[in-house]
Amino acid sequence: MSNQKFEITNPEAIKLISNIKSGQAFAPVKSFLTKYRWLIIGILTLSALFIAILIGKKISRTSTPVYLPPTIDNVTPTVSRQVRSSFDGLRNNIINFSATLPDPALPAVDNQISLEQILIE
Amino acid sequence: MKSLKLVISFVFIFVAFSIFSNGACASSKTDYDYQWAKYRENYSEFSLLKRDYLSNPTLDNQQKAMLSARHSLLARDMAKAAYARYLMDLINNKNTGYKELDPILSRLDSAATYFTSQAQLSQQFVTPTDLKKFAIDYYESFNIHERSLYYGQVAAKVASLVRFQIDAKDQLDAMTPKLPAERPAALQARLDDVPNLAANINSKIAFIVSQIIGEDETGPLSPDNYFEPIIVKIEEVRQLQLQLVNQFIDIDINYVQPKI
Repeated sequence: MSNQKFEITNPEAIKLISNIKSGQAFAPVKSFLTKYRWLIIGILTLSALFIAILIGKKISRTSTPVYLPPTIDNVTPTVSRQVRSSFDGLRNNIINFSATLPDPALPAVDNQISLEQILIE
Repeated sequence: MKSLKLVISFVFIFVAFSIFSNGACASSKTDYDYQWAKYRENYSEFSLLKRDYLSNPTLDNQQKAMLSARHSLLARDMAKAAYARYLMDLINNKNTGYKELDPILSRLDSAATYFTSQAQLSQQFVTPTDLKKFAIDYYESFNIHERSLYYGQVAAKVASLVRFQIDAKDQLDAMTPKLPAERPAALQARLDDVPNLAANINSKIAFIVSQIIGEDETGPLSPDNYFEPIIVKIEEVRQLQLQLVNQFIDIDINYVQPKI
């Protein structure tokens, strides 16, 4: 079994490897990420929310058993005939009549008007 | 053009009827309200001037207080006279023709005359001594007339109750011909009950009238003691009248009005 050593001789490849090893090849990507990090975070957050909404919508559409109360027939209100009598006016007058006295009240007055301090004890 | 004249004639008749039917009561009520307002205003001023005079009895203060006292006396007795006339209108406007209330109307008329004469008499005084004598005489004589005002209040209530009786009878008379010729037993029983109930109401009204003027008219009247038993009786009559009218309505609906 031969112990063959793999050797890179291409100068461009050697340069690329050396750049990768030193991290110089990732510098433009790193600078891009650093520059637009808040934009990227925002896009990711919005995407996550959008995806969550889509998933929630999908779940809500899935059929779940709904229990409804039994159907009740429409209730027809009882129509009562408004009965009027020629005595209604008199009846209202009697209902509205007040038995309270005095009516109209006699306002209080001074029945001893004079210039005396006290007229009659 | 012809229809316009017709409309104008109707409006004129309506306005004239309104004025003549309510005018008397409205004017006596307006006069009563005006006189009381005047009394309150004058008496308030008199109280202040009297206090000034008693604390500082100068001739000037005496003159001012005397003048204000005369204004207060005039307004007070004119107010009472207006009140008596207002009560008379309340009774008369019921158009009952109930003769039992005539003595009360007569008493109210006397009261109105008395208070008007006192209002005129009070304007003749010049000195505080004259005023004092007038005040003492007034205090000894006004009670009998002031009682008439309380009697008038009860009489006004009685007039309303009598009016209800008259209206009920008139409407019953109008309904009777519409009743079926063949009267069912239930209807006949109700109709037979009407005269008894009406007579009971009439006797209760007559009792209230008999209680209006007390046996002892000396001294001032205590409104609470006087009105309390009368209010109970008036309420009794009102309830009975309501019962009577409800009975009429029952007959009207079940035996007079067409069934649908």
